[in-house]
Amino acid sequence: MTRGQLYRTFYVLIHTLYTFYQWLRAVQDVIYDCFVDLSHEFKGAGDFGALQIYIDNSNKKPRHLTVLLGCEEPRYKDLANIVLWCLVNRIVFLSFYDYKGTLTKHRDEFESVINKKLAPRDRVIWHCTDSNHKNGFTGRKVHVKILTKDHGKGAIAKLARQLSKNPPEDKLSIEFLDTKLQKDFEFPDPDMGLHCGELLKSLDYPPWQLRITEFFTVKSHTKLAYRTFLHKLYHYVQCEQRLGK
Amino acid sequence: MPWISDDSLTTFQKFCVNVLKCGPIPKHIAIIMDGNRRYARKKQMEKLEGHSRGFDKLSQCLKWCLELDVKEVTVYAFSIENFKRTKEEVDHLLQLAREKFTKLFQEQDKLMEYGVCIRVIGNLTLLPEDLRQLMAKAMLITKDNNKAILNVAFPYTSRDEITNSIQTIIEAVREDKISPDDVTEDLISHCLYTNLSPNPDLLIRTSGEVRLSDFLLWQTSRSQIQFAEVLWPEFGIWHLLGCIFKYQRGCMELIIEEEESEDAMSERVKEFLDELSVKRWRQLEIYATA
Repeated sequence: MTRGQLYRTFYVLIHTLYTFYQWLRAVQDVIYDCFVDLSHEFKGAGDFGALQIYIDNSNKKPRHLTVLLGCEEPRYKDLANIVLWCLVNRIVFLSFYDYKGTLTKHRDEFESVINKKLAPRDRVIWHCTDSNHKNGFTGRKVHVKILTKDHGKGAIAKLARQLSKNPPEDKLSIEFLDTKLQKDFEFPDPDMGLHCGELLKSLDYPPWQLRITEFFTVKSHTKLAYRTFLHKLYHYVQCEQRLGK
Repeated sequence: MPWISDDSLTTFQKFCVNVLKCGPIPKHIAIIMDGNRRYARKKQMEKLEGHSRGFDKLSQCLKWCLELDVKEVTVYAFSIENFKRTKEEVDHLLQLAREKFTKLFQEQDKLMEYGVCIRVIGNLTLLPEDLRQLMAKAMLITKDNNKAILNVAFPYTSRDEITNSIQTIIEAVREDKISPDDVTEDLISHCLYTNLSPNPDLLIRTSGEVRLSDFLLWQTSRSQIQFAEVLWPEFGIWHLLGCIFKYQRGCMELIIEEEESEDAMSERVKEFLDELSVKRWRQLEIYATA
């Protein structure tokens, strides 16, 4: 066996072993989930009450939670749950980023799934081209927006084109661009990003807005459990932003 | 410690490097070297000593990358936001950079032998004149090397870079070098500080922080992003190999068709970009002789 063949054999071996390890972990997770679900049947509220209290009492909550679907196809039922959980946890801005654009195409379907789950005292305010916001509502509300690639580099290029046609008198500043881009983006910069899939890639997510986003990954949004969501929120609450200092 | 460490790998480490080299290896790795101060606190040493240890780690890490055939490394050495730190710390960081860049000239032969090209990316106008001069000289001396490329972001933020790129474009339109219709995403990319580099394949942030902190936001839109728990001065070869292994898993799991975005560039735009490149090198020559 040459050296090259030896290296190659070990390469295949470690990756095969790792695949097996991942498979074992997946089986373990399924068993764990079943166990936790079952024990909740018996214990009622479950053991994440303490987490919920900690988060409720925290001063640091995401203003804007953005869900990055990664390569996953959206499942409306599970995404609708996230909308409800944001209402419960008083997260005011929620966006979904789906680089394939499926969610934008089927927004009506998604909206109707959410509406079926929504309590009468809660409201979802959609931000899209044809939305009309109703003011004066005093109950719990969450602003929801579906983001696409066009909100990202495309929007920056569009702004650059406009500015080159009508150049500002002063030299450009970050604040000036930020204000202009913010107007289009409507939401504050996301402070928490929930990424679906262990492998993190921003996949053309609007780059300007990703400056301070704290990323947390979940295996998948399919059948995402509230306890997992709460755990991620808990980790977010614990993170400290230093902003260069 | 020199810019590229002399420490050689153990036989077992070399073996593992060769094994991993059978699979995909990122051509370009970007690193947010975070955790120097926390390391200093942990080891009960001066905060400033932590930064020196951080540089030593970079030197080792570059050696490992050379062994792994990673051609390009971009490191976040100093953010524009870091100017908000105490004067003492900012002065120390600038002094450390002065020392390291001065040392670079003493190691010139070795860098030339390895074929290392050093580029500083960022807003150089924010730096003291003497440091800017050292950096410009280093870039000019190594500019024709192409075996390994080290980009040092100093002082850098992505938003500043994008703003600078758009400002460059606006001026070019004003001077009639290009028309507003030429302004595209690609053109913005070509006017960034990093215009000479391909986008990173892998971005690593150490110290357990899970954000990008205004680093290469534009360039990492297709990169794998990994957060490592370890503090930067404690980052070892096994951490790096772990990141590469994970990268390889990612390459297996996620195959995304890259869009063929680049429209054919007009002659006018090409001419403008060539001119911009000449202008930037000329600016460096001015800095170097100032």
